[in-house]
Amino acid sequence: MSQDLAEQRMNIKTNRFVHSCPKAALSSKMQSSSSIAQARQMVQQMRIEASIERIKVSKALSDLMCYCGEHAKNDPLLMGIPASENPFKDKKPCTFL
Amino acid sequence: MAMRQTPLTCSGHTRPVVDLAFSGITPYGYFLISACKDGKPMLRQGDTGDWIGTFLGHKGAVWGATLNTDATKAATAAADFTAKVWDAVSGDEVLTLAHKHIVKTVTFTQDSNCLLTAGNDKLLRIYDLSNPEAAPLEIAGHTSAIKKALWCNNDKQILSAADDKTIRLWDRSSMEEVKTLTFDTSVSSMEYVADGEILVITYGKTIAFYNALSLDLIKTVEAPAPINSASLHPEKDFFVAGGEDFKLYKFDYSTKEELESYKGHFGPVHCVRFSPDGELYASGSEDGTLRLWQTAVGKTYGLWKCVLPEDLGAENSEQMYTSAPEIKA
Repeated sequence: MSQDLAEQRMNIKTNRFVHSCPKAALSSKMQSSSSIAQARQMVQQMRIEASIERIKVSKALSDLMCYCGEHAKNDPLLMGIPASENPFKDKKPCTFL
Repeated sequence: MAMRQTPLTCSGHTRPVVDLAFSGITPYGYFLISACKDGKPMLRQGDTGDWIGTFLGHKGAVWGATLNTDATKAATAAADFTAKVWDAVSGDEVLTLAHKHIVKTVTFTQDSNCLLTAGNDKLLRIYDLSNPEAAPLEIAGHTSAIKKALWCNNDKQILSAADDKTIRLWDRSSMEEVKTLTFDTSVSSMEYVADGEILVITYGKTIAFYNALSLDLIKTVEAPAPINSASLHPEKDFFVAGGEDFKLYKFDYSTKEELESYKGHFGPVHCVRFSPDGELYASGSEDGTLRLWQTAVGKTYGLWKCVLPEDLGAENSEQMYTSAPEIKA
């Protein structure tokens, strides 16, 4: 129960905090149609941002570390590439024809 | 004896972090708020450092930030001449209190009903949060900018430290000055420990402990470098201090002996605070990061898990996540 509330608290915060943009000023009726379009776009953007799934940094980092650990054997930077497959290996010196 | 420690580094701020405050222990754990010159104070989970949210609204550097005991409200003091009160659960700005100059410090009373603010206008102001439209009570007396103001003695008295090199104790009901401490140099920080009525003051390379009611000196300790902030452990066995040499120092409170020092920050340390349970302390620095340090290095707590050399093959995590930083024991 307390875990749910804590998550809810985190979700409310992340939704309301960072993505509150300044509101567009609707100045005159002449510009009202483009302002409405602008406002619609802004609302649409805010909806997209609010629906992004968020997790805590500590959880994301531990997932990243797990992933790197599990896939370390597939990482050519860690394990090296057999010389036969390396397109950039040093070749024999060139000679002039 | 000294074990190497991996602090949890919390990034996110883009300018120096100048103030930190922990909440009390709530059913959801405890929280930390950081004040930064980038104008965007951040709320974090206290034991893991996870970012929860950023309070948007200030138009200038935020010099002071605080949470109330149950972390439902936050207050911030900024260079835009306002202090703001926020709902710490939703992130909404609840109140903006206009001042005549830069506001440096804010603090709630224990019942969160009143807010004490002070800053470069040299006045202490007490706002009644249930009646925010009313003019605040003002206490004058300091002859230069006030750096820090705190409630003490069960919110019956106020302590304030200013650039006029004095610390003054005021009585709230009479609004009169009760006592003054004068120093040769300006005080860099002040912390009040309610349990035991101890006041922790830093100036130059000295960390001084005073009785908060009588302002009698208890003891002083000299550090190897100029100190900007110090904090006493809730159980009063240790205190930590940080300053201009970028290091964090840990001292034994009774013997005054320097126990350990930790490098980590890339700039002067501006603020250090112990968590309410004393298991970790947070430091804010000129480098824009906050670092969380363990009090008992090697203990399994929060994101720290002790990994002994023999156990490196075993998977025995009881925590929700596997360890982030490892302690080499």
